[in-house]
Amino acid sequence: MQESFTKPLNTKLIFSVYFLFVVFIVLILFMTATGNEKNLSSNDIDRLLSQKWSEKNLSPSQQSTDEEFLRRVTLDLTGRIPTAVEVKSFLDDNSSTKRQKKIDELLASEEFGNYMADVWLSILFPSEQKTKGLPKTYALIKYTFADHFNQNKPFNKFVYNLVSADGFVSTNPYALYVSRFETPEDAAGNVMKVFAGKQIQCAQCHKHPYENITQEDFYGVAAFFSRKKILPLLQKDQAQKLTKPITRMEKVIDKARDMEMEMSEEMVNMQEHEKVKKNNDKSKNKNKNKKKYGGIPPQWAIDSLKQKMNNPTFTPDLLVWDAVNGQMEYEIKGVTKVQSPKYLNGASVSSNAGIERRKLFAEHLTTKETNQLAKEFVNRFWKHFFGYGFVNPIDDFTGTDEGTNPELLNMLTEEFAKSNFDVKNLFKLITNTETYQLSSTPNSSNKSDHEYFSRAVLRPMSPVQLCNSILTASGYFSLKNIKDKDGDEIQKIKYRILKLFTYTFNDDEMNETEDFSGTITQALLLMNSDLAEKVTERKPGNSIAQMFNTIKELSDRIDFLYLNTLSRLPSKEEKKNLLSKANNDEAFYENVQWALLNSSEFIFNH
Amino acid sequence: MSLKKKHICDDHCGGQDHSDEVELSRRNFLSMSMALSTGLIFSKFGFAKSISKNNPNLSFMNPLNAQAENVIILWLAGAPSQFETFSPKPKSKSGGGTKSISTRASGIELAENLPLLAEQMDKVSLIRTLSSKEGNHSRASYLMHTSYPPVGVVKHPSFGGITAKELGGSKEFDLPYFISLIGPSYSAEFLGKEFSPYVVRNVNKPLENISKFKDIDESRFNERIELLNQMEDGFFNEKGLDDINEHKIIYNKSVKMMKSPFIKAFDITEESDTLKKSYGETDFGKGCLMARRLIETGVKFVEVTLDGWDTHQDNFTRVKNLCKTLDPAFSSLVKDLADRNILEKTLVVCMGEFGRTPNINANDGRDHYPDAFACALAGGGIKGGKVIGETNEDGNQIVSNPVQPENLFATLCNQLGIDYNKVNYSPQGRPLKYVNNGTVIGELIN
Repeated sequence: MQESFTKPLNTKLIFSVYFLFVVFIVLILFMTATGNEKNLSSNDIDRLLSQKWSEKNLSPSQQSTDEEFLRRVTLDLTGRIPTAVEVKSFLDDNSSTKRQKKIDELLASEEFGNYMADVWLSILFPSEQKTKGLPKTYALIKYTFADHFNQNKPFNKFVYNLVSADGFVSTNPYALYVSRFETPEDAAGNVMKVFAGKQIQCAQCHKHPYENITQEDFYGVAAFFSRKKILPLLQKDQAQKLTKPITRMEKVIDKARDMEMEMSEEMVNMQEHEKVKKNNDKSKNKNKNKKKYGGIPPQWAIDSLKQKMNNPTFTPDLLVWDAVNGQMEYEIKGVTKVQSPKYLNGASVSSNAGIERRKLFAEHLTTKETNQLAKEFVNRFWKHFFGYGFVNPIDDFTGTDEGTNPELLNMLTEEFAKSNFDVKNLFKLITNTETYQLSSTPNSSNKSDHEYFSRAVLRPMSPVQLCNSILTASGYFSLKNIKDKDGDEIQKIKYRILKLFTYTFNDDEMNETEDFSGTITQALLLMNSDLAEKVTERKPGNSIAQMFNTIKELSDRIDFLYLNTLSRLPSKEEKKNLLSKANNDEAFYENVQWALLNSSEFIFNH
Repeated sequence: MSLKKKHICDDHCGGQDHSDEVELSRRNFLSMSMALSTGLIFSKFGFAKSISKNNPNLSFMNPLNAQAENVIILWLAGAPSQFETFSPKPKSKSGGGTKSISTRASGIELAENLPLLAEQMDKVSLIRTLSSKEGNHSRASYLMHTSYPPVGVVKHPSFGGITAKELGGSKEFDLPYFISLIGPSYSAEFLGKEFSPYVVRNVNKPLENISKFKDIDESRFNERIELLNQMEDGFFNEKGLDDINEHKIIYNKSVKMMKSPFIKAFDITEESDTLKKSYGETDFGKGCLMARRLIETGVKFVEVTLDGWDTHQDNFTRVKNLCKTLDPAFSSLVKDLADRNILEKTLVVCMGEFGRTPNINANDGRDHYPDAFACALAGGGIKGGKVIGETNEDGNQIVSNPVQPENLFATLCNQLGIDYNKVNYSPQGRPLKYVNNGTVIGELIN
């Protein structure tokens, strides 16, 4: 090579050009190589699903009609039925890509984030908690959640925010999630169940019956949550009462914190051991004031609290923090044990003071356990779109059960994790599949198929969907571009309705109930409630009133009622049947509207 | 009802062996048919009654012997401390300073928080040694409503659902057979939607949405129902799916309820002021009074929930306050049923998910303790004034007669004339007995 540098310039030029050319080729190859690394497509999903159909001698149902598709996808992505106007314009659209465009439109709308927020609120705050909480607080969380999903931030970040949150709920609404757990055991059980799909709470009292999880394993996870404390401030004088203990405590803290920080792990454990021995020796430590705070608060928590109390205007709030010290203690057969934090099937973490256990756990869950995190999300939302997950119940992955289509589940899991937990992309992939768009009308082979998705299944609307849909059909509110004044009103009504529904349908922390077609409570609500009256009777400003004002023909009015409630036009027979009963009386239309609202075609997402 | 050798459940439930359940069902089938025919013969001669008296496990031979016709569960959600209620330990540190009081039943003491119940203890019995492995609220709550611990995929029908189906079942009745007041209770699952609980959240507004719109008269309402039925038929013709039929069943039941004179049972205002006061002006008290009216009307199973017992902090004050609600309600219910001569026919059970620790924690509270906890029972042929099982002085060990939850349920089923070993098949084809292999607690009924 050295010779070449002594050769004339044009040779050097040739070699430089050659060199650049080679680099260029390599770059092209590299880029096309990564370009060829295919991302998952909707076709891939369909392919893997249809393979199962052949295996199981199932043939898929036909494609859904435009009306069925529009209603289904609007419910699944924005939590409500489409308006009559939206139905008409979709039906009138002649483009071949209208379904794809509709999906993009729905994912880009603000209602998507709002609906996702509602979905996660009902997962994270089951009925009982919802009714005890402050409506304003829930409104606050909802906006925070909605923002996250509308801006399509990564889902694992959402989980991190929830699991690690601290501070005042008014400034960090995510903190309300962990605040609702009275014990570290409950917190650990719920976090693992909801996000990792692992039900570890059986191991609280004995070795897990069929998974390799011991009691120590369980408490190893619970230990990450054992320093969490909360302080509800519901009344002004409650906050005032805290002033004295806090100032007293500060003096203790200043001394103690420095000491604690310097202690080695061994010494801390020895101290804990001594404490445990003391308890077992039956000398009750009744130092209530000290114990009530159960662990030294970090300085920022004290500062936040003092700031709050110095504020002349008092607003109810809730402070969440992790103590600087404290260990996970639990009892087996009268013996108190101490467990240091340890990831499930993973490393131990020091039990020293000053270590932010919860944040560490959140970090681990969202960056090291990404496969499990992604898999649980995929499974949960597969059920959201199809009525059944690959694995059911959707938050219970046992060691051996890989579900009805392991290959597809793994493929979707990888895609989701690889995409940095891009939720909108995943949903776009799923809803654009042919399988998602199949009709629910069975053929001779697939009437009882609940596992392989060869047809759409009838899914009763969730409480949130029902609530939103009734409001939409009522014509009082547009859930698009909610104006401020309406916003509060809508929240109040929704809160009232949801309270009724969620309490009767869901149990606190119970696994999902499948296969239900409604209850008497729901039926009575739709038949007789004030809300039903508002939708079905002519009242100023509602859909029926608008109909009377703007549409004059009997036949057109019937069309409107069907479009408004069932998101389709009546069939010839239906129209004929109704026309035979009709008079142009107000009462007639109200009867029809009432019947439509109470029909199973309305209540089911089909 | 085919008896499968290979079980679908093998793939789903972690390989637990169920062959014994299936084997038993075959044997059971034979023995049942023999027993039934023998029972029919014997009952003619009154033998059945004596046989079932001495062998409680065979009482299903003569369902006519069933004493109880309905059930009222007082569900203490959160898990009540036995030390401050049914199992005081005044001489031990575990007792936490809670005193005990003597009761109308000689030899039985209750915690000082339940003075009114003490007056009724001649009719009430206690089990002090319930014991389970479930210390988690939702798991234990499931267990204490179904007799089974939750196991992944399987959905066990609740005891309420079983009672509604077995005692109500096909007989037409305007009201739901299973009603839950204040709390949600548990589903009947595959036994049928109509046996799942009808929930009344707010006992002050129990008839919310039961009457039709004010300006709709009877004929117009009927017109609407007719239109609705036509729409339902149309949708069913198109899809042919069972879900649509079930929807219709629910609506038929709802309309029936709307038109029924029996809904008066929800209205406690007609009761005397003294009676209402004795139950207490609390939601729970009102619920208990409502429960009595409902079972008088023909409802088979009513559950009334009193929440707030999860006293990890401040156990003593909180339980004392809760008992101010529980005591008058429970005691008045028992007395009221007895005064009306219907206590014999009504099983009353008062319990929670588990008990609470003998050890008092740093927040003056007690933590979860399923190892030994207590419940109270009355009516339905249960002998009053008895105690089943005892714990040691510190309340941290069972000294005699541990009782697994399934035995409690077997006993209750027995009193209702329900065969607790009856096998049903879940939609996945899994054989499930009504009760998880329980045996009757003879001392409670003989």
